[in-house]
Amino acid sequence: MSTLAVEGLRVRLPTPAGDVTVVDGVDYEVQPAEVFGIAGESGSGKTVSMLALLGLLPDGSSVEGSARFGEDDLISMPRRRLRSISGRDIAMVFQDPYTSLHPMLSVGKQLTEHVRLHLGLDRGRAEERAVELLTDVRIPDPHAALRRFPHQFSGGMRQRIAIAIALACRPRLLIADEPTTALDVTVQAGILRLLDRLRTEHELAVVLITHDLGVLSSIADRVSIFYAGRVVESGEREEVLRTPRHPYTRALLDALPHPEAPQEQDLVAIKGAPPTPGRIPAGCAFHPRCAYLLAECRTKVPPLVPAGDRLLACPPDPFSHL
Amino acid sequence: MTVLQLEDVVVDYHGRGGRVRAVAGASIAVARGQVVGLVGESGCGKSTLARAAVGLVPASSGTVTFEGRPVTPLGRRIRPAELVRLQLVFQSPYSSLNPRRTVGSQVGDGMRGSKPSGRVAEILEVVGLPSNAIGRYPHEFSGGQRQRIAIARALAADPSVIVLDEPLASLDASAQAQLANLLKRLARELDVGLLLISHDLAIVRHVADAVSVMYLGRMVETAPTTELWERPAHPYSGALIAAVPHADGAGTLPVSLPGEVPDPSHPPSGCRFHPRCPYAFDRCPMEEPPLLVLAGGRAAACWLQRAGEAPKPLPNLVGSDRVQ
Repeated sequence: MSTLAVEGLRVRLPTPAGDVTVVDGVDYEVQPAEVFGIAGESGSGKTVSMLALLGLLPDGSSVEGSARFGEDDLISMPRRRLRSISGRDIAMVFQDPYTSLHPMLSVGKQLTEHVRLHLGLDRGRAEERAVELLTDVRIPDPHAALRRFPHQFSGGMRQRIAIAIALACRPRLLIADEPTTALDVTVQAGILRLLDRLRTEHELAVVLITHDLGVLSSIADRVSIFYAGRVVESGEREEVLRTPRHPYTRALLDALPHPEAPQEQDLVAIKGAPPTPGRIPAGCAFHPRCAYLLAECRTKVPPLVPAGDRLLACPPDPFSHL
Repeated sequence: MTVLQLEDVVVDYHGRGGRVRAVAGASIAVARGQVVGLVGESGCGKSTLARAAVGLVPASSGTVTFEGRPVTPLGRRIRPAELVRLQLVFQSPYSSLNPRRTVGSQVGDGMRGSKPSGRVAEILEVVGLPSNAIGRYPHEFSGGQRQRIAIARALAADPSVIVLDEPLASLDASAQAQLANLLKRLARELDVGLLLISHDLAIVRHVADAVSVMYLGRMVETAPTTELWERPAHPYSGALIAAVPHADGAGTLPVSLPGEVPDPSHPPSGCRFHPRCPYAFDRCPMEEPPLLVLAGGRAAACWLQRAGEAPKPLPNLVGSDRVQ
């Protein structure tokens, strides 16, 4: 059974210029021990779609659809119950470990407060658990680390501590929003390896949000590519990234500095820029930037439908023969 | 012809905890029309070196020369006019542009004397911005476009060298590709020399003609880009390359480099990289290797290499317990 099943998620956010649809009909499922990757450019709705599940959107936002987590629906459940689930059964790791940790509290305090609050452990047991967690995320000398403060750690170590806090209450679902974006590649590799080990050892379902297809490719099992609040292509990592069929997925991959490509070759940028929410083009949102459009692309919103080994929202399907 | 030259530059910062040597003797040179990449992890001193290159921070020792003249640190006196042709573009175009002035007037700042709007429009066109950008404000543009405005500002001064500090970080893949192509074009078509500071070796590879790799305040390797990427001579360069994730769908985890960049105020003995180096042997903690000049326009500071010889390939450690 899947850990999380999202269906028909729609999010509208209030702006000075009126309500704006940011996520427009998104479905996905995540299984235990699986990493489900969501990729797309800034403003594609990937982060908002997660915040919506956790009730973290600003007042005045509207969320439709359902998000089944065990027996519950995260979207319709009372706020109080959602608050007790998030942080315990659902944990989050954000991009910036500088702001997600409290600068004035010791690492030990942040780890033990958390397990005492959610699991009701006494001080001694909570400290044992904290050491166990820091060991699990490979913080050297965990006993000493408990008495230190976030600024005494490097960015990579801080992200490890944030992951330890996320794991403290043995969550079933971990939402990681750009967890390695602020880190050096060498440190990023370490965090990706850590997440990969933890998901197997803890049977943890992971939703990984990233703009980096390299990160996605190294750890995700299944992926969805977001564009302007919709999923344009979804399937197994290997199929989607090796033989992309949506022109947008293909263009994103072509824009990357490919390690095997000849150095002299220019990178292929996608023409134009992603649309801002509220000014999404009619029809297929990608059509003004697409090299393969047909007349219908300008008027009809393409549905996400099964296409062989994947789901695809592109009726012309120009790469189906590959 | 070399235009910007840094030789044995040392930069110290003085703080409460005493002296921190951010750059501990580094040399780099940029010629007109050449793109030189400078890569390394955060805290390796690459941004400090960039600042020393344009005179924003004073060098404690060593020399910085631009077009044959010494680059004097920025002070209260007026900056020598010829240094205007040495420009710096900062990482964040959100904070380096004035939000309350139009793009046109900010680009015009770099020009001396009269500021014909025709020239401003021309420069905006070079960086790929529409001519109506002149009357608009920075907030109306995306991150990638703002970075191009910052580059246009630098170009207005008719520079011979632009130093760019992480210009590609925090951009989406497509915006990054557009900017990378633009940088290449500036070097080829306008004959501007670029010193490109970045932590992302994969993108540097597409733009730079030569790359210098920096670790804890020192250069550990210098090589033509392709050679560095294909046959790194220093274990640290090898580690940076192996850590780049590939978007090939194969599901291979990148190789991580264990340990952390040490505290620059207490660098390790001998080779500064030895505590993290999978190939370290008994000589490494004892003696610091100099930047050995190898064959083929390369140089590496590693005891595995021998001066004057072709760089030896690094032994393959895949599957060994010394890499993760």
